[in-house]
Amino acid sequence: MPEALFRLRPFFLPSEQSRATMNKFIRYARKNHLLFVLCTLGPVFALFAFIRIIPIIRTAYYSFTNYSLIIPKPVFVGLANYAKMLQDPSFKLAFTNTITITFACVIITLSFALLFAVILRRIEHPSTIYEMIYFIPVVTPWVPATVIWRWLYDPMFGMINQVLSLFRLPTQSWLQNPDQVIYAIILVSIWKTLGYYMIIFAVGLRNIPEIYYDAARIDGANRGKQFRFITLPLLKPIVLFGVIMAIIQFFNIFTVSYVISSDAQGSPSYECKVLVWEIYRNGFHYYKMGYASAEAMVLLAFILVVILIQFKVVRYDIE
Amino acid sequence: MKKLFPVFVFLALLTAMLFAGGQTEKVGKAKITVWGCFTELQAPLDKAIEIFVQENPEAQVEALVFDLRDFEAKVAATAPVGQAADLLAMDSALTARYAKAGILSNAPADVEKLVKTPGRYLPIAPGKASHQGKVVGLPFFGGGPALFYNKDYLTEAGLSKPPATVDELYNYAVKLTKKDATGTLTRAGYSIRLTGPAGGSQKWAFITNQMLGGDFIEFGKTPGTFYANLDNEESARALQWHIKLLHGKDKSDDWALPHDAAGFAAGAVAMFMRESWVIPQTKADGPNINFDVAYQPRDKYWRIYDWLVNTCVPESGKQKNVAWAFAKVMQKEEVMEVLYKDSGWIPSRRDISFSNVVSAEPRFKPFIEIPKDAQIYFEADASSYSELWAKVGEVIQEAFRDASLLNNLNGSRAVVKNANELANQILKDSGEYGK
Repeated sequence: MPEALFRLRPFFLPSEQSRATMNKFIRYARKNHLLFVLCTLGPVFALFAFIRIIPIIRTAYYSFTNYSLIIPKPVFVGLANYAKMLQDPSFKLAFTNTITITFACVIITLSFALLFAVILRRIEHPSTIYEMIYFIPVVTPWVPATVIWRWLYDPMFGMINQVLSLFRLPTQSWLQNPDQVIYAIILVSIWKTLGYYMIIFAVGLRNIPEIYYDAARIDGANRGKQFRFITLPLLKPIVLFGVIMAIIQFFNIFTVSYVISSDAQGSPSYECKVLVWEIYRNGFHYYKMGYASAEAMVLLAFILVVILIQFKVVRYDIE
Repeated sequence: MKKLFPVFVFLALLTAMLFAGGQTEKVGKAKITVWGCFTELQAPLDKAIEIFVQENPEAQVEALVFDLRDFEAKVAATAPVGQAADLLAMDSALTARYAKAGILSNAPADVEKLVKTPGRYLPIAPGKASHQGKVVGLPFFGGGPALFYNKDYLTEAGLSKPPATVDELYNYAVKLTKKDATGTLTRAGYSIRLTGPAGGSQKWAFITNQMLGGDFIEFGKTPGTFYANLDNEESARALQWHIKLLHGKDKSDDWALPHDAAGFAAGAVAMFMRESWVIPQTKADGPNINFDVAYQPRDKYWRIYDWLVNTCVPESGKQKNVAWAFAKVMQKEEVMEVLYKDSGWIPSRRDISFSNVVSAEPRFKPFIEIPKDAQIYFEADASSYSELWAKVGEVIQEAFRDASLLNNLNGSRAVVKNANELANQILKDSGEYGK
């Protein structure tokens, strides 16, 4: 093969000179740490700012205006939207319902997830099958999963009321009674998310060396003490992660509430108000985007405060 | 004169071009999308597409239908930024709201002529499809309620004909109610709308307005202003009428029972009031239900609520003329017939007899042949329409649960006063309040 052919360089490969310049730049960037960080993380941060930060800033701005979707010329109204929120019974109800659902779901889901993860750790080999079974609701999309539950809750033909009838218990109007619909939503949410947190805890448990338990057994610690003094302390970072994720997830609950209690043509249900639905309704049904933005800011602030408190308390504890 | 001939030709061409601009044009290879506000509109839209594509073989039309609330949200998110479908089938309240915001286009001359043709639609329809004197939509369909009743249940209770007055409706409701050995209701005598607030206040208004003679939202003296008309004896009486059927010895309905069309098709409801779309739905979902339809019962007044859906074209649409051309095809008799037969909604056109549809399904008669002494009425299209109906519905439905209001007219007066204040506050917030 002629030597000249080796000297041919495909158009997409940099020349010697440009390669040298590039290497020089990389060396300079590595020396200059900030520039290196900007070059590597800059594009990701720019994308994050575009799809996350800017919308939040705009939402904050709109929350001080009377912005309407169909008359998009917002007028500054100061704190009027926030003041109105304090008087709005719909917002108060949605806020209370959201806190109730979040509180109940976080405690029940995480407790059961941890319990099942501990039980599954003990049975070892068949545990993968059980983990898979518990994970099925997680991979099922929210809408079809909730539609299935809507049928289960049907007052006349639903399986839940049929079972209650078998035991001569009074049937319930799960989706029509405002006092019961919230429990219906909590149950679906727990069923849907339990598997996810169980897997998270199971992974955490597998990372705890068996040697600790062996030592504890030799020292005469029973299972309760092993759980209290070994499992729980070593699992704390995972529990913190679980609690934070669950709080964010349940505070933003929408689909299950929307599908299970929304008003279908010819088959109405009681609408269980939750914060995100209230935001959606004010924004897209009543076109009050300014007011909806104020509600969204309150939701954001509340979640931030709760998470910061958790970080402070639990992190300190872990350290 | 010969010298002036080219000038005449030029002027004639210019005039033709100007007029052509105001007409729906040839379609060619256009592709448009249509969104409908009810899922049952799929069949008539498919029929319209079939005809349209036959007439314009290169054209493509995509029709998507939604539940009403989803449709409203979808249009709200897309129309203001010019991303909505080329043609929207939306109710007159939404038409008014979007026309006011300048989001809908004015109809071309030929469409305007159709809308203003005397006798083609209900007399009120052109007004409901217009904004500030300009036509912005083609009336498509509408319809008010009638009383659906289960014939077998009436026979079983020894009742030979449906109730004709609100008092009779009450007595029938009590007689037709069924309980099990434990006293639990297994069948509603008259199914009241207990959930779904916007629909709830609307169905409550069916009774209120028979007693009241007025409307839920009345027009103010200044155009574009409205006020609530609920703080009165008739509204309090209507609330009592419902509460007595939900609590106490005359209890005829319960939250634990299935409601509305689904409950009727399941045989858990003896009577309820709804629009004509329930006929095909009950035939499909409850094939064994032996039912009939009667005129809405009357009280002091006989007022039948009606509403309309128009087909409108967004101003931002890139294929406006094609969209209007398709809207005109949706007005064809064949499409209207499919709309009537398959969806059950009443076509807006009144210059077509539809006698074959009514003779094939006589239960449509109370929806189309309105007695002369009954008055058809429309609620005012305030731009805060959805919020008004939903929030007042929440107050009314909360009151339905309150057993302490049984035989407590003063309590009912307080509830309707509260609902009235709430409605007026919503109107004030939207800048539309005025007496």
